[in-house]
Amino acid sequence: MTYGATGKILRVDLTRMTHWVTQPDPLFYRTYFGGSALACYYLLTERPRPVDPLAPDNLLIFASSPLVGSGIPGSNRYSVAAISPLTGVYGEAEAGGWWSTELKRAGFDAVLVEGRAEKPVYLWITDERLEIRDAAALWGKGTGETQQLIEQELGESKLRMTAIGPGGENLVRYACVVTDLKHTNGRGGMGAVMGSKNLKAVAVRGRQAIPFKDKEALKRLIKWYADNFMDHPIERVLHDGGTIGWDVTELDEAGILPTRNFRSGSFEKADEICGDTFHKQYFVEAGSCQGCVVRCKRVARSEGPWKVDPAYGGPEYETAAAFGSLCGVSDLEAICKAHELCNMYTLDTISTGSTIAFAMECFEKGLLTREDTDGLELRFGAGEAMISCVHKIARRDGFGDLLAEGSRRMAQKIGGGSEKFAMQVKGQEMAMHEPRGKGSLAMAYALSSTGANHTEGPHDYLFQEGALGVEDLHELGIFEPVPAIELSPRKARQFAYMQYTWNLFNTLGLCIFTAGPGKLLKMNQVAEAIRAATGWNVYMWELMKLAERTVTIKRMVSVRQGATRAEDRLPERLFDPLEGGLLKGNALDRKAFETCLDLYYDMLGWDRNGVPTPGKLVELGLGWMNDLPPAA
Amino acid sequence: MGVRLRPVGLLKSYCRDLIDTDGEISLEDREGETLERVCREVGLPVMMISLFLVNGQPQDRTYCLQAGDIVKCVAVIGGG
Repeated sequence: MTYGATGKILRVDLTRMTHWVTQPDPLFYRTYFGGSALACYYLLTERPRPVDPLAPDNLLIFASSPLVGSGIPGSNRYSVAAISPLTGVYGEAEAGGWWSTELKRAGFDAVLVEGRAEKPVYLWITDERLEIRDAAALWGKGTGETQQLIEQELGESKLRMTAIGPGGENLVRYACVVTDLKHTNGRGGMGAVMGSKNLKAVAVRGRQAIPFKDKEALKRLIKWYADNFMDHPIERVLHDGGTIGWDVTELDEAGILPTRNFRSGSFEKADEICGDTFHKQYFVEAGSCQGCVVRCKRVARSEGPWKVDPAYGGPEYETAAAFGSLCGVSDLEAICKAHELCNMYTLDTISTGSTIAFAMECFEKGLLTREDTDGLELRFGAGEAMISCVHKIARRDGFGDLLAEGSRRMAQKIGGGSEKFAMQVKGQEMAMHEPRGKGSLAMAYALSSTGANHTEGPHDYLFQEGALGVEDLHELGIFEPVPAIELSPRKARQFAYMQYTWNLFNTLGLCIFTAGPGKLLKMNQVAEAIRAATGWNVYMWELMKLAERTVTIKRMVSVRQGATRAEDRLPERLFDPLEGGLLKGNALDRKAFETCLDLYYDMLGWDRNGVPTPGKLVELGLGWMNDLPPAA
Repeated sequence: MGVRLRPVGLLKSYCRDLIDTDGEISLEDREGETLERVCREVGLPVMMISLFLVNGQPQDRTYCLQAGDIVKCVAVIGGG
């Protein structure tokens, strides 16, 4: 028996409208665990050749993990993965909430969907049974209405639902998947993959207990966490203010708040969109994910000109910055509205805000005119025009059809030098963290297999001299703090080890806000939690090798879809000086970046083209990859 | 003339009782003391402070205060 896992994976073929269950042996779970590693394993083994992301052949994976549902704070997440329609390489996004635990209670560790239904459908999974149900009446509806109608149809008010809205249905390249209206698998266009399969939603309801090996040990750890989390400065900040409460003002002061499409690092109206202002004017209550005491989510409401529905939660920092400083917009109510619309339509807030900011800069430079923008005066600071764009994107209406393609494709079409300020890597827009102030983010954006991904790197300020996270890095064998702004060999090492760590968490289904360097639950306690959940004799070595395995398999998926070192690039703007803020004049050093790239490949055992070497694959227990047929 | 401390953003919650209507904490006779010591004295979690700006310029936590200094303390933490 595999404790923690159900031992069952649900396979669905929407072309043939059939389904079946596979039961991997326990060694599979010990080797790949779940979440991220499980997802990329299946993508690599079953789609080893280039795949059109929006064709029926793409494989869409929803993966939980053996730790999920254990009650350890943060152990409630799941990965959604496929070949991304935004980047053309590996795509993956995580979310919290309750869906992942509910899937396991319904008897499955993962759901793999291939093919395309002839007409819109949704999946109803309950107690080891699947029904593929007609979704024609739901198509075109937002997530809120969809959830209501499905609950009514099934007579189930306690189901958990992950779904797409019009954004996914209309194949917006950065459409996301939204769970229970508030939790998003945001990045990479996973919602568009769902839409391409005519798959509207996956609803789950489970009543089975999840078998864990040592429930008493889990309870002790859970109680310890609950008794201590408010004494940890970061957990306390998250509890009291959410991520909107810890970033806008601070990043602005530090000169690294992305402003006007990353031209500047400071926004003159940062105070109008910061956490303090949000909590005074629009905050309703905190929200949570299953089993988590930190409660870092925020819920927003407004009855003002932009009526904001609290059913869709509220903006995190990324959303506040992407629709705020990045677009030059200081209307926090408009930002909250944009957040609501994105959750209803299922659009990734980061890519949506970033693509609009790119369009704003094109407009200000005369590369786009009102004729192109359906009459919108699309300048930085134009909040109303920004909201109009969100609607247009979701519906692919007029100018929205171009915006829906993302900034890379827009730049290719618009030309005129706009490629230089399309702030994307591999096609995925950068998140709201400025690499000219955080060296690790430069590496994370360039080197993540999914494109610009801020969740794969350490946030450097926590790991410099005297900072909170420095001692926690000792668990990873890093004893030297490194200045945040530095981009150097020692920063490359710090990044590589932290990239392993965050990828590990995506495989474990564990939240990076509750555990890991700089957070309350330490790495050795994560190992302890896994031992208690699964009964496996797991320690740090095995976990870090699992982490390395995860990073490597993802890389191989992307390599087989055609990715090379040429795609491990950064936008040209980052090599130009910041125009404003404390770090005005700062630019990335190209030579330092290339040196770090070379060192990173060497450290990970990849060749200088970014391809894992045969020996490295064998060392990680992935020698079977050396026998895969050629990709092309 | 003493020094003035301005905790930014989330740091304010650690010393709200000391902050005046201008958002500052005025401290007398602190010349020669380090930033780290003074911040600890007013209840700020020093390990969270990633940036000290003294009169607009970044300084190390071991900087010794001078009369008239205006200090901003900033905790740059992470993403989300």
